[in-house]
Amino acid sequence: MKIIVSVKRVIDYNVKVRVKSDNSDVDLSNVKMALNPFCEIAVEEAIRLKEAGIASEIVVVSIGPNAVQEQLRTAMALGADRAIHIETDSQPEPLNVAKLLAKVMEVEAPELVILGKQSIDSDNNQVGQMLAALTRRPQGTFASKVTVEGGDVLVTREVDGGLRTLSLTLPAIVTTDLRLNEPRYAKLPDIMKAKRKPLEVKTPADFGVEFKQHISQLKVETPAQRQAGIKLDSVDALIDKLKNEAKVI
Amino acid sequence: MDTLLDFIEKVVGAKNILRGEDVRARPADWITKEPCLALALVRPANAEQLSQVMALCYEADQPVVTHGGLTGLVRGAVAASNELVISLERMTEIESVDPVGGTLTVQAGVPLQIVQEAAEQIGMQFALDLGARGSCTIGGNIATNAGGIRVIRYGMMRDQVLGLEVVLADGSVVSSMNNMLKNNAGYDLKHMFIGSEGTLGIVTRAVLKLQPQQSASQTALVACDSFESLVGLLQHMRQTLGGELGAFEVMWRSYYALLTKESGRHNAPLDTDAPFYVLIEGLGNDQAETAQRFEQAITLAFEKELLSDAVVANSDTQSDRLWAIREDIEGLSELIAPRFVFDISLPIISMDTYVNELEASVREIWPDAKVVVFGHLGDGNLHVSISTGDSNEETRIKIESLVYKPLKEIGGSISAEHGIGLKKKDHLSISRNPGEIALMMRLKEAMDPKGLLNRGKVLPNKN
Repeated sequence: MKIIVSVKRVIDYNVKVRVKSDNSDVDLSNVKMALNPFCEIAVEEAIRLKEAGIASEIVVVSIGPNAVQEQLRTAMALGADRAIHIETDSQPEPLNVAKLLAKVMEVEAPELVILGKQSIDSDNNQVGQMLAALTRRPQGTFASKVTVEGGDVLVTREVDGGLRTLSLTLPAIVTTDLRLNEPRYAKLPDIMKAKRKPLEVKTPADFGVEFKQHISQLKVETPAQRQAGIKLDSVDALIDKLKNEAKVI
Repeated sequence: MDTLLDFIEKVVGAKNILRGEDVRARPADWITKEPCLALALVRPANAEQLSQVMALCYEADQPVVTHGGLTGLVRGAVAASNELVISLERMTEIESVDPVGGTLTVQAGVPLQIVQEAAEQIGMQFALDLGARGSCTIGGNIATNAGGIRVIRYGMMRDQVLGLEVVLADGSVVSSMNNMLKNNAGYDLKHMFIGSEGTLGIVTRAVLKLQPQQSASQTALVACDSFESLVGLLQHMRQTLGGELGAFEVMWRSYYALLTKESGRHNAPLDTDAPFYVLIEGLGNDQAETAQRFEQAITLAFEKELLSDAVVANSDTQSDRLWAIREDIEGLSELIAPRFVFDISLPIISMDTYVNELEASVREIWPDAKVVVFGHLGDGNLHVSISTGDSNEETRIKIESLVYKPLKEIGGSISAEHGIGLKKKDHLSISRNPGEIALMMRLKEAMDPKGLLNRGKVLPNKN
């Protein structure tokens, strides 16, 4: 079974995000970048399926500038077999990404596509669903457990107050939730080997996809600073504040 | 006695003098969690109040013990029932920040982590860092000349302090709030108080030196097959990373295996069959350059067979998880209790033999004893924990002798960074010669003639 995993290069989860002074976007200059955590979980899940003898090949795909090759190499160090880099300097919208991935699916004909449920930078949570719609394949989103049984994939999802398990006919699209697995570390010998694994560079045009812009970002702002709390001497003072200042009673 | 406390109450206010049960409710020591026995606990708001309190104590011959974050390991903050505790917990103001001069002026009760965060806000960093960062205070860091995980690159607390304000035993305030990098006008008095463990004066404010922020960090955990390769690896990383080597923290297998596979507290990123594991950190300015240089250095070390296996963190989340193994002192305390803890310095080349011989000599007496070792290898500093299953006085004396005796011959120190406190004062002569100890005692006599400050700690008793 062939698995495609799409990965995104995003600002490291632990970095304190700074907004550009003109509020146009987040400041990414000299900021630590990493694999999107949900994508990392998707890569890990694919590797586990390969280790279990279910998958035979893992192809990682990323769309973005030259720098995304760093994350593709990381994914290959973790265990992916080869990589496709679709080069673009623009930031494609979810629909554009989904269209590109649909084309990659046409060429590669995978049985399973695993994606992170969303990226921690734009928080859209749309690509997996759009890809399923475009390719008319079943989708299992927010997976907390994935098992392949014959021609089906069983996807367990955490829903309010319990678990819900779906059976999807392969080929299928699965998006990963946080508790699906804990990604491994890249071992040094594998990091070295990953440098020699095949990495194919393509352009959106190679897949006949032209990016169309439907959304424009108006501004990015930092959250309002929370005011520090105060200590009061008596219950009366508290009631007075609640009545006259907060006006909640 | 009550009259003294009444006078003190007038200075600090009723809310800021605790007595009886309120004092007992506080721990005296974070390891034993025994209650604080002091006759009262005083919380001055600033140096002026503390000065008045100390003047009163001096008048009444009242001994005092100073409290910071209480994360010390040598019982330096333990107070007897006739002693008064001075807690600096209300002195938590960050007074000023100078991004141009690269300094931060703070009150002594500010926790280390708050100082680190204040420095980050202006794009700088405060370079001292240790596991207790959330609780330990700047005053405590100064009093103990704290070390930690960045000493290899930035030095100890002594190197981070530009100026001090100190309240002396008689209540006089000495302000030496220098904020210049260079100042050779006479004796540099601050160094007398740094590392004096509250026996010469009470630090109330400090001017701290900041460093440029090193926002690009890379972390790896590596396994080494032998001590020779471990030492070779340290030299290699120093040379190839140059000034970017930020930490070189070694865990003997006894520590790494215990905290990962044996206890299940952490996932083991590497198998637990190597004798040594090292957490290596590269710190630089440029994300891409630092990452590339770090990976090249590690790869080259692998090719030279200085390390047998390695994982490289591919995000800060993974890096935090690697550090969590090394910093899980709470886990260590739970897993091998009771234990005797040691903080020793010795020449790096002597370490392997020293640890092997120590293990052998401990096992000769207690065949099932656990000897767990980790430390800041680049600083020549090891932390040794020994658990024999009991914690009685007789065992303690025997274990201390096994740990300390060999140090004298190899020129080591019984205290690398934790200090002497009560715990190690009987062994001071292993690391200091009679001339040094005599001069320390003359200094103490001159500064604190009545012997009121942290009585009976650090130095041998008079006579």
